[in-house]
Amino acid sequence: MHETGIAWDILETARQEAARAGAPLATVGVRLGEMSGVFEEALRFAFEALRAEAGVPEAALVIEPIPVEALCPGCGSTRRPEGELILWCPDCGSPMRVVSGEQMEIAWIEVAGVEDATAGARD
Amino acid sequence: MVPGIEREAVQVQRIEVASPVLKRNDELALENHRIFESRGTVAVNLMSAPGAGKTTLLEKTLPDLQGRFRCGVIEGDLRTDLDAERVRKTGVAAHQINTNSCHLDASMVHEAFAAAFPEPLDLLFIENIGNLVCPAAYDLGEHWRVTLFSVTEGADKPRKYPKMFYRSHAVVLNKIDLLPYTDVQLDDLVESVLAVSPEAVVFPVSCRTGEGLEAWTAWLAERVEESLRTGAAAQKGM
Repeated sequence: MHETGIAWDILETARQEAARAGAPLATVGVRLGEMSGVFEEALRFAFEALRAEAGVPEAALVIEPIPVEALCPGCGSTRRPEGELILWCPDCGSPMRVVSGEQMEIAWIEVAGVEDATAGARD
Repeated sequence: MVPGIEREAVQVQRIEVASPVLKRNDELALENHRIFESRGTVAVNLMSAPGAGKTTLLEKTLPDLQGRFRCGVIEGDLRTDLDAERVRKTGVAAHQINTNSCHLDASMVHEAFAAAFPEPLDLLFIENIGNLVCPAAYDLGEHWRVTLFSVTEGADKPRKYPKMFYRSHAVVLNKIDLLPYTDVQLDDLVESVLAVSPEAVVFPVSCRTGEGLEAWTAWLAERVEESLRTGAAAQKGM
């Protein structure tokens, strides 16, 4: 349900970054943890519904899903729990911590290079 | 690939951003946390699905705590100030936030705390919007996250909503007086919470009969006393 607010924040940040680069926003790349609490479908829907209002009608959204990764502080092993999340280490029985998969991050934007794209900002 | 992008592929320039989507909220949550710390207020973010009994839990908890500590409540709801009214009947100051949002965010709490609680406060409860998904993503600057979960919701809920439970320091398992009328076992409910939140403290309670509330209240009192001690120690050191 909060995907609308999330989409708006993504659009706002992307628009500002594009404005700073002085070029129209083409695409925004988002890293989305499987345990971020955000539903990809709802986010895409909200993004498309809001992009015109946000002033970036042409913007596309690319989502990079980030799997959940848990670390066992007891024996140091890491694993990616498949399916149901159970945070007990199968090796040593200690409680595990989620070290990745909760994130929700604007990774990059792509702007349509109007003139000669500046070398510094290029990959 | 989006056709428009491909066409302009030559001219496209990628810029690394690497910025959390909720950066503004996170920054404001940190600011809230600093304010709570400097004012010596322990903040508890109380979350649950609708109808799990958040307001009832507060009604049953506050009378025992308010004699010992200065307490306050921020209530979040889509509509009405019914919950704030119920809390006020216990003699505790309550501020109602009405929002169309599915969660409280740090800015709402920031404004509410500044506006409604100018007096010293030892313990602040923030009753979030009834929802097991969205509130888990928004830090409010709280010290403790508590999720309330009721017997009738079924043992599968923590595994279905792992983020909410994983992020909780304590889980209050309410309505245990109804256990005989369900096919759910208390052990299964506790186990289900601990599967996704191994380090959470679980309090099985019945707000209706009062069973188990003592342990929960004692846990809260300890958190406040801990904070009062460190606050006093910090002042002495200055």
